[in-house]
Amino acid sequence: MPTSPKPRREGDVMNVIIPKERRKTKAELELEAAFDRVGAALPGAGREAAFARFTGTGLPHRRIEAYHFTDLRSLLATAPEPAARPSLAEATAAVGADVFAASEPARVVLVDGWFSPKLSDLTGLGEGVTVASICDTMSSGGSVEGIGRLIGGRAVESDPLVALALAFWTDGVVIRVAPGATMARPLEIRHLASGKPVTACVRHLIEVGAGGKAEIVESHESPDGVVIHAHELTELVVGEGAEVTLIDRQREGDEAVRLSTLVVSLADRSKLDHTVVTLGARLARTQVFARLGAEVDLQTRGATLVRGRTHADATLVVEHAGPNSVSRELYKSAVDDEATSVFQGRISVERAAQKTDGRMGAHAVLLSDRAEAKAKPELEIFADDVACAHGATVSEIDETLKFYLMSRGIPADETERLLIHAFLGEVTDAIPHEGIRGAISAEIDGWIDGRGK
Amino acid sequence: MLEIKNLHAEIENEGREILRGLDLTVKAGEVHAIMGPNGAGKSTLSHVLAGKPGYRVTEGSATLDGVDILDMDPSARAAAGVFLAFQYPVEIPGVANMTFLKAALNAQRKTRGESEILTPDFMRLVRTEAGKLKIGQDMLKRPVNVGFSGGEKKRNEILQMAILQPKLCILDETDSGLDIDALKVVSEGVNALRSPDRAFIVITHYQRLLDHIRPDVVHVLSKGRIVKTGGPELALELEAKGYADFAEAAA
Repeated sequence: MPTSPKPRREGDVMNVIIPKERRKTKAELELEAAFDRVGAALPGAGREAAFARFTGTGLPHRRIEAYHFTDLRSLLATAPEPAARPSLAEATAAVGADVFAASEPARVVLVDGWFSPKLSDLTGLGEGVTVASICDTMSSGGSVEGIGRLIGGRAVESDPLVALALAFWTDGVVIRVAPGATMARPLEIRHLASGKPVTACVRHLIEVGAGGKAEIVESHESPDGVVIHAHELTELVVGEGAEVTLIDRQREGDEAVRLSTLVVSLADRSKLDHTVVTLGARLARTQVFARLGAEVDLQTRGATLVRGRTHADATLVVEHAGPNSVSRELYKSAVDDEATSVFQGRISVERAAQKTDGRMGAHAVLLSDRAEAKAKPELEIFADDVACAHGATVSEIDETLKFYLMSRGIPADETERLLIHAFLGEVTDAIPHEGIRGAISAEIDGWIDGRGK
Repeated sequence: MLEIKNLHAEIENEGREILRGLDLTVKAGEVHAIMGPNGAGKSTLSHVLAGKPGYRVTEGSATLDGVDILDMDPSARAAAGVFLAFQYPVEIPGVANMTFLKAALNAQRKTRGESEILTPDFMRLVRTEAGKLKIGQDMLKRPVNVGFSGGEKKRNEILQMAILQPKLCILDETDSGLDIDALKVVSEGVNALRSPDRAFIVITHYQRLLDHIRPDVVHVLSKGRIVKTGGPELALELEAKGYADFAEAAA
């Protein structure tokens, strides 16, 4: 059992009803106090209901199957204050060098979860592409058409991280690509941190109309040594025949917590090429819930690099609802020191989804004796004419390969570098955009070079 | 060039002794063939010289130009000039052949205190050597040995040898898995590398390879020791009579 510190009976915490069966954790109490304080002032509807869903279960723990390997009740000791909107000076100070600059993307910049129009550059995205702050839209009395549609009434609604994001989000962007329109250049959503110990919570809605094309890269950065909790909830609606590339790369600070959920709906004949790269954070969980129509092509890949005592979790649920769709899931992790990587993946094929072709692989390489990798791939098939497979491996660096390279004069450390890079290359080499691929590849080399330092 | 004295080596986990007091001297410019029955220790000798993990040297020494190589790690031995052409070259997914060749050459140069090769010079070198071995661009771009045929893998070994220019080349059953045509290409590649300041140890079961790579000296290895040494005619004798005599002689 995770230990639960005795709740302090003071201030607004006094009013919290504590169920008899267990004491709430410090983090849970802090979340409740925070919601009481800020919830009512935040725009949009449904926050009370979402927070009630969260308090109904509290932080998920190991006896909740979806969180068996990532027990948030014990991993989250505290919940920092929700972030206030930073001043322009604070926001500007948060902006560092952009690793994707060479790809010349348009840019949405959010600092501590708040959109900063002054730091963003939304020019050159082309006809039919719009980007707007959700908070600004709602605060000025407007509504955001379609927001929450992929969540309401679906299983994902009961996920505690989704509930928390729905209760606490401060801002985010709605990106729309009109039917038939194409983004003229990639769009980067940059999530930055002012360096204050806060909880930053954003939600985005990305809607690509029928036949539209979009290329989006999300980047997440925060400084080392600060306890920052970053929550994100993104809904991605890919219209009929639309094509989307989405790259999500995080290099949060070494004390940061990143909890992201991506909910995707893929209409008939659409394509999504999705990559998650995890290079930082003390605790990270990336959840992907995808629902596929007919003749869809979904590629989702992950590269996780963890060391120290960090814990990174990639959780994936792919539902094939229509026939003749293809999905490929490939998640790889390199785990050093005392770090832990977790992969949970489920492909479920509904009765109507005949001729589904699904293949899921999860592979981890352990770089130290105390590193851990946990993988749980699952298939759930209700159609009778499908080709689905899954596989998981956990291994060390292959001594035979290492000797072969060394026998040609390559020193031991350089040999490991080549082999780790090659192992993860299967994920990163598949990133379609050359500039983004190159930037991520260089960051992976940087991570490898930082080993043992 | 290579001086092996009273070499004893065993398999680390089993403690089973494979090399039992092996002596061998190879001078620069010479080609030595080592033949012998299965289990005699031929491959073990090549592995111990290259520094493959899993073996323990319990006694004796091996020096290359007077320098003890047995305490060096495999990459240092390679930089010192040892090259082992593998019986079963290893497939390395995700590492392009070209990247690998360049990394190996530059690592060796760095260890020896030389500067990195310029990319145009490297490209020219690879093109020339690959051409001689009938290795096309696609084989250079593909990951090391992945999806290569048996013959392609062996040609790739010789390409590495040609680019790295080692002092001592050890060929471990390079003829295994080769058809006649591939054997010819590989042998020509090896012969082109023969030079007064380079030595070869050719490990093989069969005389056939020695028709293409003519040895100066032929040794018979049995039960972990060299039991007979002679000229090229010894290989012909073995081909005719088999190893039965030597197995007994060593026993």
